[in-house]
Amino acid sequence: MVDHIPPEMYRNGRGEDQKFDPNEDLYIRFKTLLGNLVAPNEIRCPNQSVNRSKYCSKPEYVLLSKYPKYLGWGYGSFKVSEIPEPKRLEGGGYYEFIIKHEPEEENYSHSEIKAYKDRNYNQSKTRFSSKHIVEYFQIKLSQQIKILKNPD
Amino acid sequence: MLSLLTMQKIRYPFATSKYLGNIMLGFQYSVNSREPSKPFISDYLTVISERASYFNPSFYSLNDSCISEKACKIQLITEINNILEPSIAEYYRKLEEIKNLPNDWNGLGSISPNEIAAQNSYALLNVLDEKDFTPQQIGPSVNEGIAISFVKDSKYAIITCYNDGEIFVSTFREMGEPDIVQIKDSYSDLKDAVDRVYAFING
Repeated sequence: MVDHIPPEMYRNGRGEDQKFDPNEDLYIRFKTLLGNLVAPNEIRCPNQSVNRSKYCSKPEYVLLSKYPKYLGWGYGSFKVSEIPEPKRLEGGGYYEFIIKHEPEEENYSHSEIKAYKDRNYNQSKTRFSSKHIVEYFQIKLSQQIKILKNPD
Repeated sequence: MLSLLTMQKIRYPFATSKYLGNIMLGFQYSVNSREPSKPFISDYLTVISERASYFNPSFYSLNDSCISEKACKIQLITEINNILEPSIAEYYRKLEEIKNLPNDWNGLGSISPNEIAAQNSYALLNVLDEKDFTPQQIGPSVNEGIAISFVKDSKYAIITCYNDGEIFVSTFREMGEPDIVQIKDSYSDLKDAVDRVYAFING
C-alpha cells in the first residue's frame, strides 16, 4: 500500500484533458461487496468519482488521500466504454452518463461520471431527480466493475 | 468420532447463547478428537459468535476426508458459514447503527439516512421477519437512504428506502438488465415487494 502521494498524481498546473479513449481504464474504490459485485448502494449518482488510467499508473492510487480514510477499502476498474448507456424513461426524461476530467491538486487523474437529465447537470452531489435512474446507474455500473482488490 | 450437531432454529439472539454452548461443546469434542491447538478451537468460536444467530434444522457431520488439522479447519469454517445465517434481529441492530450515522459518514459528503428511511426500513424488516426471509446486507446508501440487499447464486435484489420516502425495488442477475419498480410504503405494498423479491431470489 502506497502511503504517500506519488509525484505523478500532483496536478502541477496542468489543465483539463476531456479526451477519453473508450479503452481507457477507470479506477474506482469501494468499501463493500454484494455477492460478486461492488455494492450498488455505494455507487454515487449523479457524480461518481474515479481515477483515469491515462494519468494514474496504478489502480491502488485510488485509495490515496490526505488522511487514511480509505485504508482497507477495495478497488476495481472498468473501461470508459462500459459506462452505462443513456436511458430514456417512459415517464419522461432522457438521461446520460458522461465522464468528465476534474483534476484536483493532489490527484490530477480525478474524474467524475456525471448524470445529465435532458442535457442538464444536477448540481446536488447525492440527490438526483430520478431514483429510477439512480438505481439503474448503480446496478449497471456495479455489473461492469472488475474487482482488483477486495476490501479487508 | 463424534461429529454431530443437531441444530434448532432460534429466531432471536437472546436465545442463541443457550444453544451456542451445545454447539461449542460439539465442536470442541469433534476438534479434540484430532488434538488441535487451542487457537484452532477459538477460531471456530469466533466464527460462531460473529455469525451465529440462528440455525436451520440440520444434521452436521464431519467429512471423512477431513484428515488433517488444516483441512479440518477449512472444512469446518466453510460448513459453518454455509449453515449459519444472521437473523433478522441482527439487521434490526444494524439499522439502529445506520440511522445514527452522522452526515458525511463516508467522508464523501453523503447525507446520513433520516428517520423516514429508517421507519420504512423497520417496516420492511418486520415484513421480512414475518416471512422468515433474511437479507444479505443492510447499509446506508450514498444517495441518501438505506439499502436492504439480497443475493443468491447470481441473483440480486435491493430494496432502497430513500430519505424522501420513496422506496424502490430492483431485481437483477449478475450481468442482466435490472427490473426496477417504485412501491408505496403501505404494508400491502411492502409485503408484495418482499414476496416478489423472495420469488425472484429463490425461483
